[in-house]
Amino acid sequence: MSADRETNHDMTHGEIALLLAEATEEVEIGTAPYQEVVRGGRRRRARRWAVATAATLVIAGSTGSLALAGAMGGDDRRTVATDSENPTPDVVDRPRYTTLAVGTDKGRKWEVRISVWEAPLDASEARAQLDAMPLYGSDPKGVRDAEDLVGKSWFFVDLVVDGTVSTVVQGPTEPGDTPSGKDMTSYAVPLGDDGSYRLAICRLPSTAKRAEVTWDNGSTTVVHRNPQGTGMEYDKAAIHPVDGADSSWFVASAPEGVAFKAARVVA
Amino acid sequence: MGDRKQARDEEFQAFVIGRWPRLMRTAFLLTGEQHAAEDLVQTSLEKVYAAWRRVGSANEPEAYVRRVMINCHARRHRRRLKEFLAPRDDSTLTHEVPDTGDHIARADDRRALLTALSQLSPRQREAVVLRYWEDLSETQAAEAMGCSVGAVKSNAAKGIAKLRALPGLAETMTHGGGRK
Repeated sequence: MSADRETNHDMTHGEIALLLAEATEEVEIGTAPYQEVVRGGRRRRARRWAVATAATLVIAGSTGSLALAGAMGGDDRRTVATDSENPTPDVVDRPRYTTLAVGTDKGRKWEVRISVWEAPLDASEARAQLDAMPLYGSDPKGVRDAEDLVGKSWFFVDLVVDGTVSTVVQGPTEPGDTPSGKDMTSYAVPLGDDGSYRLAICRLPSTAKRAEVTWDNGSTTVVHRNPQGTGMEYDKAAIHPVDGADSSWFVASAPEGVAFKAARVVA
Repeated sequence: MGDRKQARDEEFQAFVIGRWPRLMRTAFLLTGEQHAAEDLVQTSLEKVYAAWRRVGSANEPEAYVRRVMINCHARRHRRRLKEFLAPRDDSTLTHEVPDTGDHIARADDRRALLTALSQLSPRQREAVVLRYWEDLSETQAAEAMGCSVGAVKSNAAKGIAKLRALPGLAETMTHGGGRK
């Protein structure tokens, strides 16, 4: 069915279609790299089999998050998934998970969780880690060789909306990167259909007690450290320690139409 | 058994060679950059190859590859931080070397549109490209994007509204379009 049948803007549709067609003249088509595609496809197929055989491991590693997702829609308070629900520390071939926030947006439940991979000590550990990462959906950007992972801990922040997982922030951290004082790294991430940067995902020192997020409409959200062992509330931001990391994180969300502007450590 | 595999491989090869140009153009509109477009199409086709036994026998392998490509594109963009999604500098785009006045004007038009597209959110860009370039219905676009028809409508409408609001593109729409 032509898209024109569903729109009342035939002229606009035609004009835009024509402009898009013209814009594609900029691209060089070249020859289809069939052999490369087949090689890559075979690698992916082999990896898929590996994922299938490791499925139980994935579930074990995700217990905290899965338990939380499974409980969504019931109580409005729940316990933060941290140490006790995660794999043994100092294992390089599995990440450790912490849930940072849960919320609802137009009836859709969302969750932000972080997975942290221990820094491999040598090339052999790094190879094991790089092989294991795809099994957990972790794809470290810019890493070509396993050796690139040595001495670095990688984190992946996932946004889960109605069960669909997207990695929204990722990166390595090294021992010297530990935030201190009023250091703060903030990431603005879109939430909802309009693409507005309504989520502020922030990394801050493990000593930070209070932070403040400023939104582009001038309003602010004050975020306090969540006392250990207390519950997590929907749509309420709190600073959490992160299992396997030397820093704390929080996630604050804005209403529709409002976007992230800035964040700072207050105390 | 071996014959069936060979037949599937030949079918896949024909699919790749036949669809490559169209997929490249779509990927270029999604990414605005030559190498990113090649990378996006190659990655998508690798995923399609891994599932070709099932996909090839289905009625619409093209719809499947489109879905894979949109997923890859969305996933890459969701990973990026705000600064990566900020309007691109012209230097990141592939430029045509102009040799006549008309070619210069046309290349400028294309760049205006690519720059304008780069200012849309990934979902808006996907909706605009699927609806207006791929000429998909709202239902088909929703299927490719893995979202509701309402979300496609909303993203396409917002995307088009943003494009219209950009002075460079408005001029292109006034003076261009019919030159082709």
